[in-house]
Amino acid sequence: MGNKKIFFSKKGSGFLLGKKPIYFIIVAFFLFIVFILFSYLVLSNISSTTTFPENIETTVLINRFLNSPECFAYQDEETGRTYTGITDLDKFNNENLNECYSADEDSPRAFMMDLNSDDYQKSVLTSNWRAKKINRMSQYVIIYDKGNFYGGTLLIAVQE
Amino acid sequence: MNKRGVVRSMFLAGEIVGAAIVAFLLISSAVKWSDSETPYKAYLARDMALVIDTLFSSPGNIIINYTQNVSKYNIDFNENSTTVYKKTQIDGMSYKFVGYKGFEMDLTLKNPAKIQFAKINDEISIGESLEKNLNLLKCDETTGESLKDKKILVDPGYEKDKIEPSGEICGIANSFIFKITNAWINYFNILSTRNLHEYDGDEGILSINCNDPSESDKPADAGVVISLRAGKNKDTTKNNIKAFIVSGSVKEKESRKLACLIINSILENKAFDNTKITGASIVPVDVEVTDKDFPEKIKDEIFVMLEIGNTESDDGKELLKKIPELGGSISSGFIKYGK
Repeated sequence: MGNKKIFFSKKGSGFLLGKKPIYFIIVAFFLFIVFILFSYLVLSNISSTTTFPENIETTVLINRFLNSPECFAYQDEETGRTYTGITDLDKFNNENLNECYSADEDSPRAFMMDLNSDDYQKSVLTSNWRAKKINRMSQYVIIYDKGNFYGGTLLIAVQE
Repeated sequence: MNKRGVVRSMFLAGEIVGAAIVAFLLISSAVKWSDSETPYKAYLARDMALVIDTLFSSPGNIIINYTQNVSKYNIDFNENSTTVYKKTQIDGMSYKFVGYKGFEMDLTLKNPAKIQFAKINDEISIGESLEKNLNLLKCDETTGESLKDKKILVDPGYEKDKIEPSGEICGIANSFIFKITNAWINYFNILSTRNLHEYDGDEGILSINCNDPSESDKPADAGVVISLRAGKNKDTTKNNIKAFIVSGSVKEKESRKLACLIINSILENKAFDNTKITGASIVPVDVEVTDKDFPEKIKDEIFVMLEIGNTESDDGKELLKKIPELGGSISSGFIKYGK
């Protein structure tokens, strides 16, 4: 029992821990480390068994920006037809992007896009963009601007 | 009383509680992760999140029949994630998707035999069996005032090389008139390009004598003109509903909305569930160059020429036989306008 003493200060203003509590604190610390490692290993294992084709999520999301009339796709007002792959310059802004991609801090992906043509250079980014772990890609697009069509390039930076 | 003894007991109790918490966390996590279904749940959650992202990427209407077996699980969908679990969400696996701003969803499917995902007119729906129609059109929600007090001219048209409309179209026109005069509009507001029989006050019936063009009202006297025609397409796989409106008309927006409501009303009518309608569209046409037999002077009116079905196809013939149902659907579209 001598090893299990708890030493009180003589003034009664606090106490000193004996060997057993210190032992438990060290054990708890190691258990915590083991727990974290165990979690990490198991979650990694689960992730590896549920791997999806590379870039499929990114591709789906980029398609949203290019194909959805709620994002940048040009839509003929008269017929209501959406022209996929044609970017309406009037829609290419941050406000519209964050309307059609309402991301929060935990969302899996963030995007920054630069639209370039001979006459234009415009950039937009999603609200969760933090500029880290970036993959870059580019895509040829047709730009619609006030009744005219131009060729251009969309540079896309993806943060995963 | 031994004060040291009390403190030691409390400390021991704390140790036991701490050990129990650590043991519980480790055991529950081990049980959860050692479950061989966990990877499948993780896969399903991620796969369905990806399907929802795909819905948001679609430029038009889309219905996806989910083919994975999910009947053993409960599935929660909320505004930004999917969770797949068996008993409680604690044993569940989640994955996030990103919706449009303002997208809301709070849905739990318990052991669903199947799942359908749909985006119809920008509205995302998820359920076991949605019964959604892919052909539904997106109608302008802002345009239009009620047609209740307007004069409505009904034009049943005529078949090519004949002077009278087909029996079906005449029947649909009369069914339409019957529905709106009984439920909604005064009979004296009905005009026609054909002679109208006298209104029978006892039976509450007003009808068009389709074979008699002798007394024809003019579109200029009406606020709304609706022409009805049977479609004709050599491609017998087609059985479409088309609404022609006048491009450049001062009432083009109103005409488009009325056409949209009428078409959607037909498409949503359960009576046509067994009749295959292959498509629906609104076609703006230039009256100066079209070969369609539009009534004259309709450029400043709310005007819709509805072309129903395909007389060359079996489905089209079947559709045109459903006269009261078509008349009812057209009148429903009219009544919805302005609401």
